[in-house]
Amino acid sequence: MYHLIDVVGSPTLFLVLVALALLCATLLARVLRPGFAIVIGVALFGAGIAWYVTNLSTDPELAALVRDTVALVTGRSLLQIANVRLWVLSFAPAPVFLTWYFALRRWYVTATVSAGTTLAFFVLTTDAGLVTTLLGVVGAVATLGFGNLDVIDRTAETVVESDDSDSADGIDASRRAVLEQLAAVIIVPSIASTIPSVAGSSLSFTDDTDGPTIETSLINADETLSVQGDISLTPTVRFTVESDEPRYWRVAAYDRYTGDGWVRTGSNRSYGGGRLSGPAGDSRTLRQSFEAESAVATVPGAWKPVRYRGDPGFEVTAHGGFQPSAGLSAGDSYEVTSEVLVATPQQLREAGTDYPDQVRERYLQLPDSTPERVGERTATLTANAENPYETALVVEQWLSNNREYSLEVDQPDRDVADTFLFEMDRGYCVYFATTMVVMLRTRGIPARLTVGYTPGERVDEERWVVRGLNSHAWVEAYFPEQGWVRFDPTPSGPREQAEQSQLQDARGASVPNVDTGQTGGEEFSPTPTPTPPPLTETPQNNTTETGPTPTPLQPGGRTPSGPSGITTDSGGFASDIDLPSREETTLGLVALLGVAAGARRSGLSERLYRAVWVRYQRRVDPETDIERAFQRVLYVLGREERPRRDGETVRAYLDAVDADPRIRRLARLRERTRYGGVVDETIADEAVELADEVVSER
Amino acid sequence: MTDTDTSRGQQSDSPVRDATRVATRVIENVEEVIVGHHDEIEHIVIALLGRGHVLLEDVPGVGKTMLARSVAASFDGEFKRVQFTPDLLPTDVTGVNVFNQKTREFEFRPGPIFANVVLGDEINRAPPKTQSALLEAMEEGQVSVDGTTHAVPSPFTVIATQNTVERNRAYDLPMAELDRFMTKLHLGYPGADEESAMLGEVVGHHPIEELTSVATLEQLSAAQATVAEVTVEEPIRTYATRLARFTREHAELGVSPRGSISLLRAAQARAVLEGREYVVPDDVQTEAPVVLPHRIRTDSSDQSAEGLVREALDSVPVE
Repeated sequence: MYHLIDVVGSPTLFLVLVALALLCATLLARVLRPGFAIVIGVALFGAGIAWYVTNLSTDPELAALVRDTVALVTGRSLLQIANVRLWVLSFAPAPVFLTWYFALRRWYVTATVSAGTTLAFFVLTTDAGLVTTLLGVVGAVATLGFGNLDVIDRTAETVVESDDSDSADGIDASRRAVLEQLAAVIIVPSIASTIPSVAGSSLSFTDDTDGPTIETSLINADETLSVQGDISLTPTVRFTVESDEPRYWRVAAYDRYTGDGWVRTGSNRSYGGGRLSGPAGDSRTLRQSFEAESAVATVPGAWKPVRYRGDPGFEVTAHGGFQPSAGLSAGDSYEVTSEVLVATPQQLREAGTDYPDQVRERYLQLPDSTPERVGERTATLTANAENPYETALVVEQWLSNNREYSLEVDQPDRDVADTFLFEMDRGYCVYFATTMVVMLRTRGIPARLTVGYTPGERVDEERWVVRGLNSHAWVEAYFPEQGWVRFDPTPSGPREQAEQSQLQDARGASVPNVDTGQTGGEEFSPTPTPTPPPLTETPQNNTTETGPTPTPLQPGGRTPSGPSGITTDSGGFASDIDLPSREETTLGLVALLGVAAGARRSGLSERLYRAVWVRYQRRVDPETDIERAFQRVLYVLGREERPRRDGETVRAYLDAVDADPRIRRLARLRERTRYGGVVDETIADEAVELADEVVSER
Repeated sequence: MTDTDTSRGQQSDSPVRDATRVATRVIENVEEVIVGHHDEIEHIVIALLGRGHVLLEDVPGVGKTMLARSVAASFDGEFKRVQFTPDLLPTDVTGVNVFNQKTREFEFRPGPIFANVVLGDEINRAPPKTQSALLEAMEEGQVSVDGTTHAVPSPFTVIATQNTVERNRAYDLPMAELDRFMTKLHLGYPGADEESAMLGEVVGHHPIEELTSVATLEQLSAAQATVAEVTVEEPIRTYATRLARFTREHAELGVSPRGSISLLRAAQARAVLEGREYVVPDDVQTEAPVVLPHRIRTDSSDQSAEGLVREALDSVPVE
């Protein structure tokens, strides 16, 4: 919930609401009967619904609302609700109130049910991540476990002083048992998911190192896109394109940034086959025809598509992109008519900042938790830029020059843009594009993350072969009176090298579906497609149009390695180490405690320790040495015969197990030391010697 | 006493060994007369060494009085016997101020309480006021007569007996007063063999007539001093405390701090009896069954105080 509201803006109001709900629950828990509380909870919920519906800017039909609710429960993220802020504010108080009320009344089961229902809802809408869900489950188990203990403690008529040795570590056995269960809840699934037979349902906290391919993470990610760690490229051919010129074949855009990924808000509407409007600025028409070479689920096209025709049915997204109603199979083809914006840099410079409200609302959003320093760094970098266009150019150029391209990165566990800007030196297109969008938004420039394919391999005058490895992410920024303009902060050289080497490897290994009949031939030597400059209309302009240069960073920023080759890091601590998130830390801690408790109960740690302890004795002082020597022998004897019982004196015990004279002698020495206060070095020597002797024989 | 044996009078270098010898001699001496009660005799001697008092509780005729007399006769201290009856007055025990016609003054005529060993027979027959006269002497080592206090001799040990039959004609001692006895013993009937052996001995003349003292008062006092010096280390103190706490947690009325002190004193005497200069947990365990139970009132009738003490000994860890 907090995360949801954080993504879309200031959480203060939300926190106030939750605090109010908690306060009410606290007050009412003392005086209110549970029946009334449930009524209040339901009333709150109803009020929430009413509030939400009446406050929607659009006036939806009931059927549409129901449909949306069903969609939510079947895996649609809440973040895709355009009005998620309102939604959260409407629905937060009821579950918070109920859960807290019942927890205070010690109805732990009911409280857990209430919280669990809420959690389940978020799981269904896929808004609760793995860690959050697990934490919720662990929390529920903990509540039930400790809650029951609490209830038992209260009803117990006699409070037994825990004088037993069990409570030496401050937690009695039953609490330890609960801990063990919690650890099991965390660890068992994690371990189980690494067993090959169930790896299909893998549950892992980190993406496996092979990583998904960049394509699956970009293109198939339906309405949400999470920024991943390591990633690989697939050389499979996806499309053949016939077009007058190479463009970026755009698949979709994402508008809502969540800190660790992207969400597309709004719903698709069906496409009737008519012509849509082109960009506001001057444009020219470009026709492309696509043929799917393998089963795909997207219909790429050059921006801005105004008409689609072809085998599959189409839908239009809220962002003007097209999507197939169902997937495409190999051989399906379609034609796209696009209106390509032709704006000169001059026009873009003079576009101003008079953004339409809709654009402003949707494409300037940033999570409230975005660190201030992102905006500060951007402001520093673009101090010389005089208008949004220059700002965008500077950011694009700076990222491209100052960050390496690499497919192998550690997935950040905090804000992606912030991490990439301050703590990483390399990444792939998603990192570059995400960071650039966030930077532009901090400067008040509407921007969005766009995914699709680069033009691909040219196989004929007007034919391109597009492979999975051509999948890419870039940035679109909005200019009033013009429209969306593409920027690509990813350094193109390294990216193409990666693609080419991948392709060569695949060809060398005769991987199927790498080539069509036309590719790889001599007719057109495969030329890597350079990243087209943002405006293909004026290529010569672009080489000269460098725009303002980034202002050199103040010392204290991350500067490129100097002659000494030392990278100076910004002040504070060098956080190259990824710190785990709060949730992960909590889970890890619980798991650790549980494992410790389990190891203790199973005696594993004890046995390990004992094995060393019984064989080796470090001399400290006579008294300690004698006691240690005695305990070692007693331990060995206990393993051999039986342990000494609690109320059994040493003498009685030795008589009972008929211990040998040396042990009796040692016991006598120890007795004199312990109860007679006779301590000296020679006695200790003798005791340790005896113990060594007895232990070594066994 | 004129009767001396070779070991007596010799000062050895070890006071513990001397004390051990004295105690052993007394025990052996009493065993000349009393058949088949070795443990009880030991406990009585231990109470003597630990400056405690003994309560013998049993049916009549199992030799309670005989036992007490034998112990008293084993050293050359003064022995007095008081038969408690319902009409016995406190002054009958403590003594009384008598007006001397010659000196025209009151002078104190000491009662039977002024002896080294006092046998209080059937103590529960006397009314509480009379009992308390005896109990004051036990606890304070002095008696008050008409506002004047008179110290009892030292060493001073009371061996009281009480009958468990004819309860309706008895004044049972309250818990607070029972607490003043270090040990409470049950003699029980002797075994068949022991009984016939005893019968063989006592027919004709009773062996107690021939019992001679085997220790002097000085030796007894010295032994008592030695016992008081026996080392009680911290683990033992902790153990005793835990035992007492256990009884408090599991009974309506548990062992008082006075009971814990008595337990350690008895353990000290036990250590001396075994010739040791320090107390070990075994001493505590040996003495607990006779030192603790009469200080405990259990919650329910189906659990005996003795059972609770056994439970404590079984479950409180010895460290």
